Amino acid sequence: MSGMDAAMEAILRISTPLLLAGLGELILERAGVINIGAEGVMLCGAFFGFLAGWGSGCPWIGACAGMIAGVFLMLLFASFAIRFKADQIVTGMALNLLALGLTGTGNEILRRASSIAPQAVTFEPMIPSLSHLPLLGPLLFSQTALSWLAILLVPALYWYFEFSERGMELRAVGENPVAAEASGISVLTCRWKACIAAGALAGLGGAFLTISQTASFSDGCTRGRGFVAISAVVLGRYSTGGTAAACLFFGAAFYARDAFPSLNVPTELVEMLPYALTLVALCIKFGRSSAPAGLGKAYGGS
Amino acid sequence: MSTPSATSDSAGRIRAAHDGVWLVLLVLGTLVTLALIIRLSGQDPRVALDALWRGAFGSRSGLAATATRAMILALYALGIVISFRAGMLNIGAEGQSRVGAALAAIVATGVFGIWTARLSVAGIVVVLLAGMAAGAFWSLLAGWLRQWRVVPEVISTLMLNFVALELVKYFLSTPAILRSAKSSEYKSDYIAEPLRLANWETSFHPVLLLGIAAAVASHLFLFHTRSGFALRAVGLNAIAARTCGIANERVQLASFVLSGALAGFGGALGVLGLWHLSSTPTYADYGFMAIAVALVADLKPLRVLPVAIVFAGLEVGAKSMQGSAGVSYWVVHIIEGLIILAILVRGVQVFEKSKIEAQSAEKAVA
Repeated sequence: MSGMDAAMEAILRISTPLLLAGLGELILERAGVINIGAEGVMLCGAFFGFLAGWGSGCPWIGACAGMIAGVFLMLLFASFAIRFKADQIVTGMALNLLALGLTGTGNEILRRASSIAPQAVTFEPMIPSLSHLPLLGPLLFSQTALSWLAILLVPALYWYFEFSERGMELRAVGENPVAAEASGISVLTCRWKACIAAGALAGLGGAFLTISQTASFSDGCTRGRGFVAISAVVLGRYSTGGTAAACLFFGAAFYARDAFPSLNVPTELVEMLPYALTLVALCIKFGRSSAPAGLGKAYGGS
Repeated sequence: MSTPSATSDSAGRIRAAHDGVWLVLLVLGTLVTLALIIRLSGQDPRVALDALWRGAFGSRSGLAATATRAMILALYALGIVISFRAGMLNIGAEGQSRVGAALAAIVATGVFGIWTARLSVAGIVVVLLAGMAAGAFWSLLAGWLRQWRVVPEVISTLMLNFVALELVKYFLSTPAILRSAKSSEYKSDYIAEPLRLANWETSFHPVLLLGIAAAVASHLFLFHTRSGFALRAVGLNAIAARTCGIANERVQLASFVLSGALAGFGGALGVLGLWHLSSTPTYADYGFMAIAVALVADLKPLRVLPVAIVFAGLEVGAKSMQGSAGVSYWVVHIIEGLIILAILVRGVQVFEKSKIEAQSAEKAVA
């Protein structure tokens, strides 16, 4: 594997959790719901994915558990933000605190129960025999299943938003819920479904960290990736391609920081990059406003 | 949100009684949930809760630690009350306080430190003003973005929190700015002796009264001044306020400055009186907890301090509970999350208003 191939492989690996969570957040935001609790959802996915993966010895069960944990947390979010029409931002914050507490307490119990640090079984590269192929071999075939899923999700989601009827309905719900409801779409059902999808994807993104990358869980191990995913959606101007590109770009930046310490770029400035770029992008206005018009507003009379 | 005049009539009294019952239920619910979680994690709730209480309020040092943290938390929360009252969802207290604390530390150590230390009391004022200015500036960035490019303040303050976090970390890793030459960790030098407000960990200090003063001042400002009325009017219905001749944009910018200055003030006070230095910020800290405090206090400044004492006590007590009763400190965050959700079920009036406004705007468009 040459240096370039190794770099591409690593960038894709670092970007995978960002991609999964970012695309999940994109679905949610296109439906008009903003969840700043993505960090908490990822954290829960990471912990419960790790727990199940370690207990069962099968990474697939871990991945499923991560998704289920994410969905549960997002169902809680939906009950408050959609059913009770509570403020979405504050609900998201509560989710972050709740997840931090739950996983921290759970990890503490786990640490006390076992004398050795538990290690989960991780995913193997998909088709290692093909990874010696020139050019794309190492990039694609040394990745694990979840990275593949993340990559395939990009065209699938693009097709969903641009060409499928359901996708267009979802966009209508985000842009103008009143008009969507008038045309016979159930705004609330659509938003509940978007919450479930976002929870599954962010939970899987979190689980990727513990069952495909590190094989262990530490308190707060998502390290702000959920917030980076939200930045990616804003920076990508709420489009599928843009969000994916932003995730890959952030992944590349994080890779470059770790791979070339000789460049002497302060780590803090690299970590700051997603947030600072998002702020700059918000200031540059060209064409129409890209955020869904109904973003962040509860729907329905109270 | 009951207006001050309404509390005198019977409807106001009923509302106040409801608030009281609600608060008692909230505290009871919190205690029961806490006991349940402790039981689930395999410990005796009575021992653990006893340890929590004694850690937070049972000793002189515990009491001092709780009071100090409560004051810093209350200052952040008062800033949040003011911005939420103006209808601005400024969730940037975390970043604003960090930037304030960092600038306060820059002014109080190194080359500047020699100068400010010579001024003694005036030097303390200079350091506090520096913290307030930095916090206000950081908050104003979000205000400007809102006015100039219609960037929602929720997104910009959230992003600015993390930019501030990394910026302060960068300062702390650069010797020319804030990093101490003596420490291997990311820490600044300790501030000069004359600038330290006596160590609050061991003894009470009159500066603690600043928290009470700030709460009373915020109350008087919001409910008994012309500008406070304008600020609340903009928060309740910006369109109606504009029709009545209130300059919306100026009021909103002012709310950003005020809340940022309060957060920066809290951060600077922490440097002068609690930490005596600036160190690596951690994620999910008081700036976020202060939002819960402001919401539990129902955005009423006079209620902020007692609520902040409860939250600070929970935090301080949980640390000693972890030590003596073996219950994870992290349970505090579960409790905080649940408290916020409980508050949301009851409904926060400010959000109700903005919701109605959004709906009427939607109808006007349709």
